[in-house]
Amino acid sequence: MTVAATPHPWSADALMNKALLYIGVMEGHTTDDWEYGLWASLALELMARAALAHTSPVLLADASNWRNLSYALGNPATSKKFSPVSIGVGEVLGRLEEMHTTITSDITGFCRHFFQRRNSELHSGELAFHGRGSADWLPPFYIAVEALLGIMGRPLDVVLKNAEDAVEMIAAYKDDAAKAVLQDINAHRLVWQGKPQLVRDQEKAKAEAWATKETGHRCSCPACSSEALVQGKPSGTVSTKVEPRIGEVTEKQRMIPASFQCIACGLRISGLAKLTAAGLGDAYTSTSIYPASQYFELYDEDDLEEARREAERFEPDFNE
Amino acid sequence: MRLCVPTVRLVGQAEWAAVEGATRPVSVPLLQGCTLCVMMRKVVRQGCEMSAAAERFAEHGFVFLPNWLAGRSTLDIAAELGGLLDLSASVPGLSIPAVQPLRLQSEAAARANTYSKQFGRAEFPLHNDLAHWFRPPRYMLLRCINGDHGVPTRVVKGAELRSVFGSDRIDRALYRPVRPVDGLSLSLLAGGFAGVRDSVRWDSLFLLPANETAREFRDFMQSVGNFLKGEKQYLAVPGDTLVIDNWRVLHGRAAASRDSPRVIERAYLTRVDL
Repeated sequence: MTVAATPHPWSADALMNKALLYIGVMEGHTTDDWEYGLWASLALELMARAALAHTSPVLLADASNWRNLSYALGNPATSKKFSPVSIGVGEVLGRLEEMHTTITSDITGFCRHFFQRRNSELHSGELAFHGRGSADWLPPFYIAVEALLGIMGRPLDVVLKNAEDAVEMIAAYKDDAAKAVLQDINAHRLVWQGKPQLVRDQEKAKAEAWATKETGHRCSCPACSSEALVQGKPSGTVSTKVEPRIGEVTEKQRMIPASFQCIACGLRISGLAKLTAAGLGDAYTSTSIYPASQYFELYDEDDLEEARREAERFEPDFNE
Repeated sequence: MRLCVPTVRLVGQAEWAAVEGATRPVSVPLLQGCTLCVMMRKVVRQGCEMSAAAERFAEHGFVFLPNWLAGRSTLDIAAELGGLLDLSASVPGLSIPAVQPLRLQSEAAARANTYSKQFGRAEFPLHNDLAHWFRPPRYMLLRCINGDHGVPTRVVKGAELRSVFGSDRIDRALYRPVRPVDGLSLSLLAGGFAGVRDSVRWDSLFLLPANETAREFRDFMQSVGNFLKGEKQYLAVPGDTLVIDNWRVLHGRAAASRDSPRVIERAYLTRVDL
């Protein structure tokens, strides 16, 4: 265990401690105060960066300049007037979503929107947090905080004074989202059942043809039982298998559902929380098969034929 | 010279002394009446004592070893226990010897920005060593060179503080060093050490509270903490050694009289291998 007088400014500990400080300032205000939202947004960005730095501070470095990488590794500056640059928070969120299955598109979507509000507050005359309460953003904020802390193995009660309230709010929010989705499915089911049988059969056939043609994960619509599609986002590592005998490479990757569409009854659902409530939230596997020559960028028959044709155009040396 | 019957050989004083000084249990058949076996029995007993010491250290975060390996230097002892930590190598520009002599000083004679400058021979409040560092040395040993029965070192376990003040509150507390450690920038320091059970960070002189919970802990330490009994360890006889987990235990020296002969040597360790 090495001794260190100071932490690296991009280390998870340094970023998390600052986030903790800002959460403390946030909790010093009531949920109706505009400052509550502003400090929450500042703390959330620091927490996102801390979660990425938990893997390595190097992931925060702007790789367009190698000196930023060197700085992130803890090396002293080797160039005069060097000022270390880290990636923007949008990129931080993208990397977190790709690396951690617990950081869903719902969470990153909320974070992006919340940071936009923060930017409006800081960089314009707009009152982004004033007079708007916290009911619309506080529960997803807690969900994001819980997920980011989970990456770092930290419990909610170390960060939030009222962690129990936060847990209750998260549960209630997920419950409300579930109820809203089930109501939506019910409404589409009622409309579908009101259609004549002939129309229903025609729409079902169209949906089947469409689901076969389009990319996505085929499933049964919870409202009308027609063939429908779930679109997902890649998550986690890619597994690669080479089949030398048949000259193919198969890649598989886990996909987390992000949206659902049924063209028969018109039901659309987006967001993992709502998809889960509708029974469509299970992860699925996306499989891609490539010819080995394409995957490894080898010469294929077409390349060799072209090379032979080029060779025929050369004239031999001749002392004429 | 002594006779060892099983091996039918004479055991010289040097070999006797080497066996006496051993700290690891030795697996030998113990035959009654055999001098070598008597020596081995002693080594086995010493080995058992060290195992018990290791258990106490793991549980409490400190262990007192009375008159331990007397006559050997603190440098040797530190190497015996584990890795000696050279702070100068860890932090560029820092000039601290690997083994530091600690002598009682008056406020007037002490260097600026030291505990002695602030408190002189009066009682030192409870603290971790180098608590204002992001990651202070984990382990330290205090070894008596010249003892004083009237000047104990008080140790208080982080576990006790956490049970009284609140574990999650200690983890939420944030501090900052009074001065930039590297002369350049200030960093926030958490009230506990992440991943270490019963850890606590505290120093009333070199740390400033940075949030409300830290201010509450400061008030707690000023009103209650410094009156916590803890345990008093007496480095009274040369060789008395106190090994401390600097992340899990706070310590502080009692007040000393003007003519106290107390001299202690301190070394920081990377690990403790009892």
